[in-house]
This record gives sequence, structure tokens and C-alpha cells, in this order.
Amino acid sequence: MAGDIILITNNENFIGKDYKVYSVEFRKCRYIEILTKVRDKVHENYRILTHPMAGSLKPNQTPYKSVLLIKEETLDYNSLNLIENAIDSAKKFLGIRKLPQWNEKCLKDFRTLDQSFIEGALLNKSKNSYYIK
Amino acid sequence: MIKDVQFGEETKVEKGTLYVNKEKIKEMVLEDKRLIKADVELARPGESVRIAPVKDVIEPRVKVEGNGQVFPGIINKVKTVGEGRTHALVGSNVVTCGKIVGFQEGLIDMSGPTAKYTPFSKTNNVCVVIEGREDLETHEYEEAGRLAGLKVAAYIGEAGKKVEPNEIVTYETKPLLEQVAEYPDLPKVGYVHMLQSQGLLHDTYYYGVDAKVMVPTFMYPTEMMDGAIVSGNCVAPCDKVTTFHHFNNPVIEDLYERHGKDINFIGVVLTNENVWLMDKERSSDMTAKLCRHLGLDGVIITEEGYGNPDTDLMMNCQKVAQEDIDVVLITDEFPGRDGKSQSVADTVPEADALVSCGNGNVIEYFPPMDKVIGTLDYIETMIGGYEGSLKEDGSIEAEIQIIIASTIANGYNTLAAKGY
Repeated sequence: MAGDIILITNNENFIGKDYKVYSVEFRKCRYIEILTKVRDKVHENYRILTHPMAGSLKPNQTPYKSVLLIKEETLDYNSLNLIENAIDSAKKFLGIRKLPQWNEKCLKDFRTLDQSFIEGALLNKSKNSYYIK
Repeated sequence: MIKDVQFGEETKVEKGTLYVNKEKIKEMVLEDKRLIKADVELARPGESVRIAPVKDVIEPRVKVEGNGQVFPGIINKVKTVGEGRTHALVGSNVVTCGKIVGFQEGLIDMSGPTAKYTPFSKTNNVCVVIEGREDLETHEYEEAGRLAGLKVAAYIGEAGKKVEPNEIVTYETKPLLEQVAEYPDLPKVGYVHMLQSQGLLHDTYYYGVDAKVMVPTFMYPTEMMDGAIVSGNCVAPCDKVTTFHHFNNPVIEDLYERHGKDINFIGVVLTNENVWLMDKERSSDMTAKLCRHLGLDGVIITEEGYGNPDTDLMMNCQKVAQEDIDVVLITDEFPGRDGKSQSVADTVPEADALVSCGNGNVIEYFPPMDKVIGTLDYIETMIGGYEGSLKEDGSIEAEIQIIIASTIANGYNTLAAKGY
């Protein structure tokens, strides 16, 4: 339904919480698969709300990725461009070096960071503004 | 100018040597109950010393004339700074290091082949080694470490209060109409300064305000020289803009150098880097609006970080250029080891003048050092490090992005990537 906001994420910190503004679509998968899932959603007329490369952590550094999208009536070409660029960039980095085997302490920190990029961005705006195209 | 650093009973400057009271510093750091351990070690240029993992680097400064104190809104009362006289203990720095998050922090080599990549191998460093309580959340530890560094730097800075400076430099920006009238025939140039502000461990503070909740604003360049901007982030070692760099912003320094000669330096438009696309739109719109409002002819834009901030950089570039203002960008590059991939994550046709600060993906060999300040435990998990990076003898093979400020995207370095 138009106006629905979803969070595509592989970060388990978002599981089981009621965020009211958006619903969480969690999948246990790799970073790059979250990006391709986001691209699928864009083709289903979802518009991207948060930058797919948020955080300056490179795609071969963090295993976690979360992206907020909102359902629209038509395809949003800016979103498509954005996600295709992000996928290209992620492939480039993963081609240079694969993701390290992080220990649990590091993984926890990466999850906390990823969560903060989404939650931090919610702090500074009026809630109705998400719906404005 | 500080030429040496030593421990002493009293924190003072004498004949170019900075003496610091170790116990006093430790006591000061441990006032914050979130920190359970503190130590102070010294590192001088040319010594066989490796410092890791480094959190922030801060030049000791003190205000001797004019309103306010250093780091307003963070460790001192909020008051507009940037006027009067400030003493800087140039040649010395406070370096906060020790156990931390595990990946966003880098290293400094005081000698050897990799020392040249960081400006902090050439300064006399008071290293504050900290450790937080085991149960402390990452961001709490970051804050405790950040405040400890600022407090120690302000304390050491006090020692410079009565010192007769070797050099006095005057920087002056007048209120807009007067500044425009002063050099009416010179092109009006501004600096768009983008602050890292994407969230936890990716924050920067302006007079104590988290930059992600502010809208773009105008500031006098001299405000930065008194610590109006404080770094609260660990993006990646190579492009981290430390608090030292905010004090000593090279773009501001160089624009002042040309001020009144071939340009009229009008001031700084301060903006942020956002996660939400609507925030990017708003900030870049307002940045362009401010540039137009100031009547600028040319603008230099710098960013902090890689990936998402590249989008803010390009949006700022495009919108400012559409106001008929010439734009030059400064950034570092991540085009892979062979330099063949695209360097930045985003681009626009208006980005036709860019100064490169080097390729962070280049691999270097770091020979073993006699002494390590902090710990090498995290080398392989740091950005630029990888499995097998740390050798048994203490040597390291890693990308130069592991070195603090090696490819810093404001040009306070000596690297550049060139096309052949």
C-alpha cells in the first residue's frame, strides 16, 4: 500500500521491536544481498529514504546493512540510480578484499553502528515528512 | 614552537621544551568514572615508536585575549569564539589511544618508512592511554575518551598562556559588507566545510551541537581556530579529520594566505553529511542558498569519509555550481590497489575540478618498532588491516588507510593520485 515504510535489514538488533513508523523485513543474508533486495523493492515502486551506503563503513568492512524505503505509485528513477551505484561500489570493494571473520565483539559494534544510522536520522524531523515525495 | 616533550613536576613550557605532570593528567582522566585505567607516555619524532589505536589528536591551545575559552559548549561555557588572541603549542599534540571499538581507529609511526604518511610523526606527542569499564557501551566509551583528550589538551594548553610566542599570525575576516568592500576587485571565495554526522561514532560537534541535527550555517573561519568544532568520530583512520585538523584546517590557512592578494576570502559555510536523502536535499539546498546569498564567485568543498558522504559532496557541488559559482572539490580516493576502479562512490557532471589527496588502498610495509604505545591487538580488525596483517615480529602489512590522516580529504597531507 502506498505510504508503507519498510526497513530492509540483516541486522538482528531490529528484530522483535515495534518501531511504529516502519515495519522491519529482516533477512539473514550478506550485505550485498540486502542491496539487491533493496533494488528488487525499488522495482516494486519503493522509494529509498536512507542512503544505501550510510555510515562510511566500506562494504568489505561491515557485514550489516539496513535501508528504509517507502511505497510509491510509480518507479523512482533516482532510487534506482542510487542503488545500482551502491551495488557497483560494493562489488568493487568485495573484489579487492572479502569481509574479515570478525569476532563477536566487533560484530556487536557493527550492529550498534548500523542501528544508529537509521535511528539517529529519525531524531531530527517531523514524522509526516517521510511521506513527502 | 615545541621542540621536545618531557615529564616534569609542573606542566610548563621552558626554552621550547614542554614538561607535563604525568600524575596530574592521569588523575584528570580518571575523574570520569567510565574510565578505569589511564596512563601517559611520550612519543617524539624519529623514535622507534608505534601508537595504536589512535582516537583523536589535539593541539594544546589556550585563549589569552577575547571572548570564551577553547572547545566552547563541550568542556567550556558556550560563547562565540574566534576573536582576540590564542596561543598554540605548535609542535606538540595530545594523542588519545588505547583499547577501543576495534576497527575505526588507526596508527601513527614515529619513524620508519610509514612515518611520512602522517603529520603526527613530526610532533612531540603526549599519549593518553585509556581503558574503559568492561560493561561500557561503545558510544559511552567514545564520549569518555573524547572528553578526556579535550580536557588534557586544554590543561596542557594553559602552560602556553604566559609563553612569548615565536611567531604571531593575524587572521581577519570582517562582517560581510565590510569584507566585500575591503577588496571590491578581487573574486569572493568561500569554503564549504562538510562535517561527518551520520550517527554513532560518526559525529562532529559545533559549539556542542551534534552536527546531524543542525542546518547549514555561516561561520567565521577563526572560530575553528578556538575549537568551535570538535571531532567525535572514527570514520576510517586515513580520512579522519581530527580535532587537530579542525584547529589547523589547511583550506582556511591557504585561503587566508591568498586573502587580499588574489582573492577575497569571505568565510565558511558549515554543513553536514546525512543518512536520509531528504536531509541531504535540505542541507545541499541551503548550502547553495548561503553561497549565493554571500555573493561568492568561487567555492572550495571538502568532505569527511567515503561512500555516503560522496553523495552529499556531489549534491553540494552540483547545486552550488548551478548558482553560477565556480566549484573545486577536495577528496581522497579509493580506486583499488591498481587505481583502475572509480575513485568516489558518486559523481555529477559539474564535478570537473577536483584535487586528489591520494589512494587509500595502497599497501605498505610497517617494520617492527621498539616500543608500542597502546596495543597492536586490533591491527587486523582495523580499517586497512586484514587477516595476516600483523606478523610475529610486530611488523605489519596493511593498506595506508590504517594510518591516521594519511589521505585526509582536506589536503593536510602530501599524497595525490595522478592520471597517466
